[in-house]
Amino acid sequence: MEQLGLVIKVARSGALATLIRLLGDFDLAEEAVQEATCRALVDWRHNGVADNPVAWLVQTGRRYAIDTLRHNAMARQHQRKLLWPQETLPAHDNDDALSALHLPDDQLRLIFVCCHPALAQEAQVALTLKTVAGLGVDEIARAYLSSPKTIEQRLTRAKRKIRSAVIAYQVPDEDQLAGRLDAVMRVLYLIYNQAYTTLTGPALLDSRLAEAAIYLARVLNRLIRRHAEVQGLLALMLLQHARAAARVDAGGMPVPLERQERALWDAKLIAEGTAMVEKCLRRGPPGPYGLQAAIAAVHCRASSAAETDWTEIVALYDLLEAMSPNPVVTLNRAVAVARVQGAGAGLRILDAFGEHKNLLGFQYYHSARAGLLEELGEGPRALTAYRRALALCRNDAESAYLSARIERLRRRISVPPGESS
Amino acid sequence: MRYMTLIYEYAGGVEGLSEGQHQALLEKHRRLQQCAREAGAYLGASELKPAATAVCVRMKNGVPSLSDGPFVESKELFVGFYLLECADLDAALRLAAMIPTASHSGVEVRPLDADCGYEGPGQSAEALGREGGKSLFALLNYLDEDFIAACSPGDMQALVDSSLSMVRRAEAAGDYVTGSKLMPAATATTISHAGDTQRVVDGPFSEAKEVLLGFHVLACESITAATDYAKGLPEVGIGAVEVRPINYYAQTAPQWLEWNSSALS
Repeated sequence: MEQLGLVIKVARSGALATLIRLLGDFDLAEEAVQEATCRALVDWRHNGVADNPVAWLVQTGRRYAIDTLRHNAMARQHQRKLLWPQETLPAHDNDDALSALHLPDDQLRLIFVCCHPALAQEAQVALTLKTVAGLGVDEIARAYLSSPKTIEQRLTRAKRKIRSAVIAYQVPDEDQLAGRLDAVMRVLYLIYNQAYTTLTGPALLDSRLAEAAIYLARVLNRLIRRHAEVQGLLALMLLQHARAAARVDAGGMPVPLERQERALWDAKLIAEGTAMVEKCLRRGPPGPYGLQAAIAAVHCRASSAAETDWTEIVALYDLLEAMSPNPVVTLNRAVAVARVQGAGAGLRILDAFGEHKNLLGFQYYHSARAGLLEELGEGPRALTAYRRALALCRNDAESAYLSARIERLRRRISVPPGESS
Repeated sequence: MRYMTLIYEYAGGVEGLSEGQHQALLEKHRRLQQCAREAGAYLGASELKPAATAVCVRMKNGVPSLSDGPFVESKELFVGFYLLECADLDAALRLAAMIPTASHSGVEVRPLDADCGYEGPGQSAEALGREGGKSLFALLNYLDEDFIAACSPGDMQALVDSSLSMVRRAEAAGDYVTGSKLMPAATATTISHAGDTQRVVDGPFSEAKEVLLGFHVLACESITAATDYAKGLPEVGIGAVEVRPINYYAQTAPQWLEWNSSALS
């Protein structure tokens, strides 16, 4: 039965994409695919899984939707809105007609509509998670520490805008494709980042959300073949996720990279991610996602923290910073430089940067400084930096970690609680 | 689907333009108009005369009264618009991106409400404006965002219906050129800029609480006649109607007329 559930789950996503196009209506399509999956659960359990599960769900859902429209008092009004007139649909159940419907194209159309820049970023994220990844409203709400009602409203507003402003159900034209694909990748990256460090709240890693992000990246990689940055993005997610089990200890406390139990890293994910990075790099000079994946691959390759090739990591960060300068990249580069040239060199980069770019409200800037100051034996200054980081921290697990660091350092330099800030 | 692209310019944004820059600006509008015509998307375009020429009609002590100047005071000025007919939003955005201000201030793209009953180009603005010795005016209907949010679909329909009597009256007098209700601001998409590159974002361009609900283009003998029409609009009682002299370049105009920069500055 486990297997049947999985078959239905996978088929559902593809069927929904096609039903949205056939019915010209997100809500009706969602209702139809829901009904179809319920019927599939009963039918397939008795008669075995259909030869083409997606086509079966599409046919069943389409018939249900047409019946609903016929019996609906609002039928006339609804039918006017159909993007694909009923008459042009295959009149009988016919797998040939359905396989001609180009199911993968529909899935790609759906992704591009969900990530259309005319929708608010948070709406793009919610819509992608709901319709492409198949997450429930409750799950999305939990991941974003929001109420189901807020997410529901966000989705309703987005769907209303798609309909009233006429956002077409299509893959962008050649001249727009690169920019629009960037937008899709950004949404997937945002989802993964949210999963990776849930900025607020108790858990450090929302694995359901991380799995959804990886699923989305896999789908995108399947649909947009041989695209270096899509491969880079998928590789990055796989390599980061490979370390998930080691990132938190038994007590729920974050474990920094250098102290992680490498046996807990998922070797299979690392192998797949590394292969993907190599594919991406073979396509030419990597973009920002490819570079981040390459950096993650260097970490994963090292059998111990001491064996990490920091020189290569610094070189990769140099490239990344030149390509897409942002505070997080500089921060990470400074930490990498500290491993190669010593804590003092890293600290100089951070201090020069912090003054220029107004990084003072950024938690990781202060925690990175604190770590380097502690290495340099600057106890009181490190303590101040840790406390600043703690004040900015909104994640329970990270707060606990920072508090423990502060306590340990305080004991070592014997400063009474509350002093030195 | 029909769309209005609302063009915004910073106050003083084009005052400092040299003759060459000004010509380059005109050239971009001409090129856009040509593209839109070739695509069969062009319905009309308008430039608003300077904000100082605006008159506002609003209810005061139970009677419609006039005040000087535009209704919305902000550093971004609404300076003109295109009316386009496109297959979908992307096609409209592609044309809107050619509007010169899309690269330094912003352009908002908002669908027109096809159900409002008075949408669509009416008589030729040239015929009305030139041969009839009349001038062209835009009536811009503004309502408070919160008020719109509180309106039920029925309330909104009642508002539109009561606009219709003004529209029919102006049509009967041969003064009505075109007009439409716009879809809610939530359906708007804005092209703004980030550095040198354009950026498409959700929502209207203006952050003002007063939202443009719709517009009418009229050909009248004087601004007084235009404000008389404005007094017949329901927005006067619950928001405001701004009356602005404009240049209007109708679908039927044989070629692009000069985009007069004096109206932009």
